[in-house]
Amino acid sequence: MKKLLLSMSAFCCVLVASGQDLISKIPANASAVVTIKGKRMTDLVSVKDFSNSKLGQMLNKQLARESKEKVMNLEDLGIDLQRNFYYFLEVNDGVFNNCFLIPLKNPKGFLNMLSESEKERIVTENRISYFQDDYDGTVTLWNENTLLLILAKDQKLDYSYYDDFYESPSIAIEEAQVAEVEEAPIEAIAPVEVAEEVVEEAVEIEEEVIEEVVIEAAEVEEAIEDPYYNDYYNSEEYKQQEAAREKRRKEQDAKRAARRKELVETTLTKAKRIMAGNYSQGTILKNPNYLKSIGTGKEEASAWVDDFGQIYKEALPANLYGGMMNPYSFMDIDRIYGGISASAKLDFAEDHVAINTVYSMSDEMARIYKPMYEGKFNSNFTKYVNEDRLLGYMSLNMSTEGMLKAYPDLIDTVFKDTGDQSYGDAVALGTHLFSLLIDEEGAAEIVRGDMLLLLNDLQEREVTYTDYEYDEDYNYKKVEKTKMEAIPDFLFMFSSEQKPLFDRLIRIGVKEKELTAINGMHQITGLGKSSPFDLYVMFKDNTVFLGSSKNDMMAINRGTFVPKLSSELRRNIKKNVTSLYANGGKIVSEIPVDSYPRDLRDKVQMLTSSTGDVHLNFEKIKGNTMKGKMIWSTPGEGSRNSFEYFLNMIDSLMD
Amino acid sequence: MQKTMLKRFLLYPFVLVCLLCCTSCFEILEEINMNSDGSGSMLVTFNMSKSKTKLASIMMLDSINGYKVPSEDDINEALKDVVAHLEKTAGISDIQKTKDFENYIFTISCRFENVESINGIFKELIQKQNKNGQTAFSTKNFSFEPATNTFQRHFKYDVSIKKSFYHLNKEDRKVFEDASLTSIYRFKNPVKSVSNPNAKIAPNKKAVMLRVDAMGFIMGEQNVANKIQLTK
Repeated sequence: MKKLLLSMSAFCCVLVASGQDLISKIPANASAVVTIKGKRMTDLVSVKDFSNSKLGQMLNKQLARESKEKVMNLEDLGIDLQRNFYYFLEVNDGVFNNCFLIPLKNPKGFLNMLSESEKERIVTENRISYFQDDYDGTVTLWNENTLLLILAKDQKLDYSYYDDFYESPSIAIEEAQVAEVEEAPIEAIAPVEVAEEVVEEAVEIEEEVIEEVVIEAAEVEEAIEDPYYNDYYNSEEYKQQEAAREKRRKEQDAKRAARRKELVETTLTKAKRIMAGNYSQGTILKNPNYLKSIGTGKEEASAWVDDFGQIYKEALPANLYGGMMNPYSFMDIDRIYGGISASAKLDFAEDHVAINTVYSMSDEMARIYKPMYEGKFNSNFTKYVNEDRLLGYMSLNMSTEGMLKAYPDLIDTVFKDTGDQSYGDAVALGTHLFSLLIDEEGAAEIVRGDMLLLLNDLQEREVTYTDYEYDEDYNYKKVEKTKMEAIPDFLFMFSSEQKPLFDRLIRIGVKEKELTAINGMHQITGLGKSSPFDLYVMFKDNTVFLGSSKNDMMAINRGTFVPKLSSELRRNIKKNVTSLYANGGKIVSEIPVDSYPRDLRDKVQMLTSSTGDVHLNFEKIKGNTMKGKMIWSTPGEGSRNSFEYFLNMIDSLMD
Repeated sequence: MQKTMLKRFLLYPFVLVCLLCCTSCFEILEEINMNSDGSGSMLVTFNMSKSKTKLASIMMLDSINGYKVPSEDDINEALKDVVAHLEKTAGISDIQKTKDFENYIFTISCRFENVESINGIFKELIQKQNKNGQTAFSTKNFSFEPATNTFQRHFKYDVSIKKSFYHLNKEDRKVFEDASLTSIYRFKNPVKSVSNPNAKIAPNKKAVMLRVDAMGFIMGEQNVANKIQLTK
């Protein structure tokens, strides 16, 4: 009930706002919509403050240069920065219409940005003005309060090459010959003899081809000297072929020109229709999938992409969809992408910036994917994390057993099982065999699917290097010098129940002198003396450990490792399918100053104090959706919110 | 296969942190010992020892910044190619090479009949560069005039060097920040004068050393050109 009320109030807010809002110009069948909320952005940082920032000053300079000093700043541009900006994508029968809707306060400012040739092409009719690019059809259309830009891309123009290909008579003859050749031996060969004969034939054909190529190459060389060869280009036959080729080329050029002309006309009609906003099927606010993605509407920017399967279908011209020139014709696009949609929201909060993503899929795909992400996380992993030293981590909580079981279903789904060119039956047979051969539970005993990778502090290590010392006569001798370098300490853990297999691998490693036993663990010696870090490997409590710190590995082995982990990080690691964390300030401070580019070295202090933590988490699949969230903390002092923080950061770096 | 998987899933993050933390620079040492008759020996040392941690990290990757990382085998092959090229060059003999993959120091030395033989080594390479890069580098790098007893290191700066540098991304440019080129020329006869203001004459007057920073060289602020006048 609460959810319903929330959705209804959000819907009402949108409807109220839509009186002035440009969303009323987006059709219900739009495939993607991006929104930038001008009011929320200018509430975070005023236009005046933005203009005073270095980024704003750069933009102002650019505007002044482009407009020959008629537009000196954002305000002069005549754009209404208090209203919402939109981008939407409409895909119809192979034509991608990229549409930008920009709210205007005063079109004069925008007109000052136009070149003289663009101004000369302006057409004004029924209170709207526009000009259009005759070649690609790009339309710039505006009235008193709205600017619309449409960039149309016709896939049919890109694919028109294939028309030439198939309409060419010589290619058609060659294809017919190839088809005959291909068909003949298949009928003639008895099934039992296939393998041997194919190999023999392949060898024979290869030999013949090589011989022919050599002979042909020799013939061509001779022909260059041969008057008959030169006469060929003056022969009637060649001239006729040339004339036929020229005719075909002209026909194709005319076809492309006609398509281009059609695109120019339809794009202009579309632009006028969008500006009027009179759609028989209603606006995007009638699209239930879009409405579901709106949420609370407190974000500064959002992006929504509708059914990927539908976009794919619309993206390919009707004559190609399902045809042999469709590069994905062997895949069942409807089943793979059908019902998949995604949305993302960007929120500049006071002390952090967040990007929330929601990925929805069809019931069938959710059923296949779900077991892959249903891993059990090994709680022991968190006993070996010390947050005081932690620079970052990456956890993965998958299920090997689930993946191996889902794999055949997934492959069966990808490959179609209909039509003459279907691989469906062959693939289904293959995946069935795979299922029979693989012991999913056995494989999961080796690698269960949960793992944690920790990047601990950077340790200063003394390294030697060779330099030269010169005497006064410039005779030199090699000398060994030392310097300090920071090397990262890392620890990787994954669950496994196959200690006997691990022990066997260790024995082989020791025998091959790739491993050396040290205090109950093994050092990998095969990395070479100049390797930046040492590597140790160990099996303990159904966990394989691989780490670069001898002390940490020994502490884990003895059971004396001191853990420290906040409940937030512990929860993120355990509950999510994958979780990433980076302690920004600590990483920046621990990287040696000399390693930064020269122009950044004096800013390390500033970067250390103002670089925050980054968290990225992807939840398990719930229902048909998978949610992700990235949070970047913005601890910068003197910033009222995270958007201002980024502007201040850019200002500091540009100083 | 297993090594590649290990690299991709495990070592990459740490190797990348190593790359971020470790400094990189290199030194090229060019040493020529000239006899009075114009013959002599040459030794070129490519010393990347100071960056060995970073290089060892890079060698663990398949590619970096879009460039394929050469393996030890690739480097060995390249060195073999250099030796093969030298063997084919007229007037070059006694070619030796050393390689130290632990410290990343590589050397190539040879004897030459006259300095024209050294020019012959790079002639083809420079011609190719001039053709492809539309540059005008001289194929004459060294000259020796017995009549005047003058040894010259020729070099004319071309702005394409700076342009090529700016075509590199920021990370690649860092490699040149602390790099240097050192030339040491030794003679039987005492040195009377040198034209390059950065060149130093040894107190015994028998050697000249010139150290040029890579960045100074790339920007055209420092030059390796030098005219060395020897006493008769």
